[in-house]
Amino acid sequence: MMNHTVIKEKIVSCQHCGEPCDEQIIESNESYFCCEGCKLVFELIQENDLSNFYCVADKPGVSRRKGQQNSFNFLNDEAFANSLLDFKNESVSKVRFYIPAIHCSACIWLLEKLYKLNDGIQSSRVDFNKKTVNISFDHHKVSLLELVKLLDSLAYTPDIQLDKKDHKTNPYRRIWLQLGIAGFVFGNSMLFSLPEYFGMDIFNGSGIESLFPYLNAVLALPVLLYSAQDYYKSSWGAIRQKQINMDVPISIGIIALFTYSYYIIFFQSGLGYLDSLAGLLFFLLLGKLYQQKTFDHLRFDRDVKSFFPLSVTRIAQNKEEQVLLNSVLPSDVLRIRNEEIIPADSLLLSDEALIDYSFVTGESMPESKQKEELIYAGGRLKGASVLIQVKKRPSQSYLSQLWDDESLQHHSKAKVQNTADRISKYFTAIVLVIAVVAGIYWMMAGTADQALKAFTSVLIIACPCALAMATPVTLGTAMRVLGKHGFFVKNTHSIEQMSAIDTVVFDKTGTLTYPDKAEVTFEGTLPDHKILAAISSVLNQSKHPLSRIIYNWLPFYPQQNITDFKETAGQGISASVNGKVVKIGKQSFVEPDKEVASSENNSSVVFVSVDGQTVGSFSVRHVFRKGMGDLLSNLNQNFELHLLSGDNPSEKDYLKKWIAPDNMYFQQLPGQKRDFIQKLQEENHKVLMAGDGLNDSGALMKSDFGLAVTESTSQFSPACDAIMLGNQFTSLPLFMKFSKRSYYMVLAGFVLSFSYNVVGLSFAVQAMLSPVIAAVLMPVSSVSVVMLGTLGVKYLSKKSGLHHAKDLKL
Amino acid sequence: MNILIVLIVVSLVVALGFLGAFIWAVKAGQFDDASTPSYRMLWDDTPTQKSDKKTNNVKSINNK
Repeated sequence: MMNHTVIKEKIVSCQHCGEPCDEQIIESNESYFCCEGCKLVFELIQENDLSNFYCVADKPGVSRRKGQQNSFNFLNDEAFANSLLDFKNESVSKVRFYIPAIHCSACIWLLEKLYKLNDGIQSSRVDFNKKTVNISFDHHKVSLLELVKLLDSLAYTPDIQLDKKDHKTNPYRRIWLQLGIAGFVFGNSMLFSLPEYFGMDIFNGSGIESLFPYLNAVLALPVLLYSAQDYYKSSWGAIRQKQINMDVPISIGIIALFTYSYYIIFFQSGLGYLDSLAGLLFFLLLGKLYQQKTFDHLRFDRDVKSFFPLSVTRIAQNKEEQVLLNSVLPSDVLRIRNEEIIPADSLLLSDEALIDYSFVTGESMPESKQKEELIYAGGRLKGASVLIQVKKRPSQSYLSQLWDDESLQHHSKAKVQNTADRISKYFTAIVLVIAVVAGIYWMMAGTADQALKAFTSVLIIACPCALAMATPVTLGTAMRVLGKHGFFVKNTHSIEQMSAIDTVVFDKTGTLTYPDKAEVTFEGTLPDHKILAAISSVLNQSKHPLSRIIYNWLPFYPQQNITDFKETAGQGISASVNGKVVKIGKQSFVEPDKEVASSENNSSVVFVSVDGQTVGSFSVRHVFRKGMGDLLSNLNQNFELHLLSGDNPSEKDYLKKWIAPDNMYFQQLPGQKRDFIQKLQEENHKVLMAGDGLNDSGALMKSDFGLAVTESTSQFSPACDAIMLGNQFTSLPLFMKFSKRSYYMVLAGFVLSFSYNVVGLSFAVQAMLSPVIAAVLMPVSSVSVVMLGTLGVKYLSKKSGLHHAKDLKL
Repeated sequence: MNILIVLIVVSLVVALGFLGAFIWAVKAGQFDDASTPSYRMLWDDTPTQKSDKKTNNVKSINNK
């Protein structure tokens, strides 16, 4: 016993997961563990000669303390199990799992050594960015269920989804191929063009040089037909919707380049501009690839189904069975256990249940439901298991409706064109006018040949390659910088949106406060130890979360003898201890005679009375994030702040310092939050909404920039424009300033590329654009815009103090 | 001078060979994941145990 207390003072960190062993210490062979689960994993790893796991990184394991018991029995359903497989033949099956817990190199190491843990596993391959593992296994030796259980026992629990989108082909493959072909053609045709550019006469008139243009003509075909495909599709799509985007002038330029070059090669025995065409596409595709590389392991478009359970426990003929959620029918009886989600609107069959609706309503205290009451889907059960009878099929219930609501479909987000697309409308018009004017001028002042040359040269040289690259390269770099600091933006367009924000709306619980920490204060004079011991003993009998919080906050007392314990759901508890009657609960419960001062349903205040005498009250409130005050006062200088909380208004006074009381709204339902954002937008505000739960999802979706705050990227986060780690929350003003500056850098890139256009156009309108000028000007303009974008943003990040990547455990 | 024509053809064929290899590599999935191999290459086949170092230290202290 002595020994243990000494150890506890030093704060031992677990040998497996590295977390402090603050609850208990388990000792085994001079190693200490925070929980039984970590010890089991440690022993499993040791037994199988895999202890190098602990050498690859320092205490790399995943803590098993928070892990709940998962049942994967639904994998016994063969049709379902097979639907998860990517491939299956006589002897081998292949499957891919998404494992959110993958976080370091040791995870990769261990997961790729799975074959040592089970004979049936042939090989496994981790994709660290996507947090997936591909496993090949012999299904005669090991079943999918056993495989999943093995992963679960190592705390690498796979996240199994019902509707698997086809992820078999990587979306990047196509762009890699397009890029590779364009690069190949670019290099070779540039080589074939060089003799002409430098006027080299090395071939002594042997006629070989006349071969080169024809070779170029052949080489250019795959570029025109394959590499440039997506630009035609995109511009055709835009034109059909009577819009003009950036790809329209690009497509015009590509086609003008190609047809004019073919005309020159086949009718005038010239060289043409085909090397420039290949170069143009090579740079354009490079910029596109750079933009597409995003945070693969994050899911910005998660929907509600991904956090619904896959299977539920159904009671049929007095036996429990695991069934898939979508096979549940109305009038089925289900058993729901502690911390499980109510999958469908149902009737409560058990006497009583405590249900936490914080996802749906934002109210942080659970609601108590009585027998025969209707329970809505989406709540999480707290406490003892209950039986429920399904009333509606899971897909039809309230929560799905909330999400299937038309205004919540992701198409509903008003498509704001990005700046480049907005410019391109005028750009295209101006270029066409210049081209026609130049053509007409030369028609009258010169020959038809010159007119054609002037007309096409304008279209060619104005092709906004550099303009199109300014946004993806600059904002793509900015995205990477932000990502290193725990702020993951969905795409470059979102950064543009963020730079225009003028109003910031916060959710309270989980966003401004820590999601899981609570602070208890006692109002009144704290009674003596004898009475506190009695209170503690009564609280210990209750499973209500408030009771647990207060019980843990009080000093430890030996359990007293309790009689007449009674819990009135939603009201409070009472019992007699050593002859004294102790009542704990709502004010109306403890002091029934007294008029309750305010009508506010302030459920976070717990009153205590002993023998009818009120002793005082405990108030439990969530702890605000460290640095929240600085954050709010900082934002207050530049933005209009609002607060939308699903919770009660007990902290209004505290927040008054930073947020105008008129801008604080409490007890807001998800729909109200969404409507409020819409109202702000109708007043021409650009709104950033920061929230964490499902109850904010509508508002996040509706806002101009939805920001989901989460404690770890593997947790559920609703659909949004960016995901931010909670511990980075105080850096939000910095991030916003940085994104605004990055946006100015994009504008600088536009100016630079316009100036190249002016130079090129001055040659073009004079019908003097030679292939050499085009071949030099195009790559130079692209490369310089890329340099400006990347180096400029690097400089900005240094200036904003964002250049040191933080050590983040994702 | 005909040798130049042969050279041009040969150079194109070689370049096409590399292009073919690239296309094969992309289709085989070699470009799908560019970050995990950078971790994988850092592991020794039989990395020395960290705990060995510790025990060595203990031994040397004991020897003193």
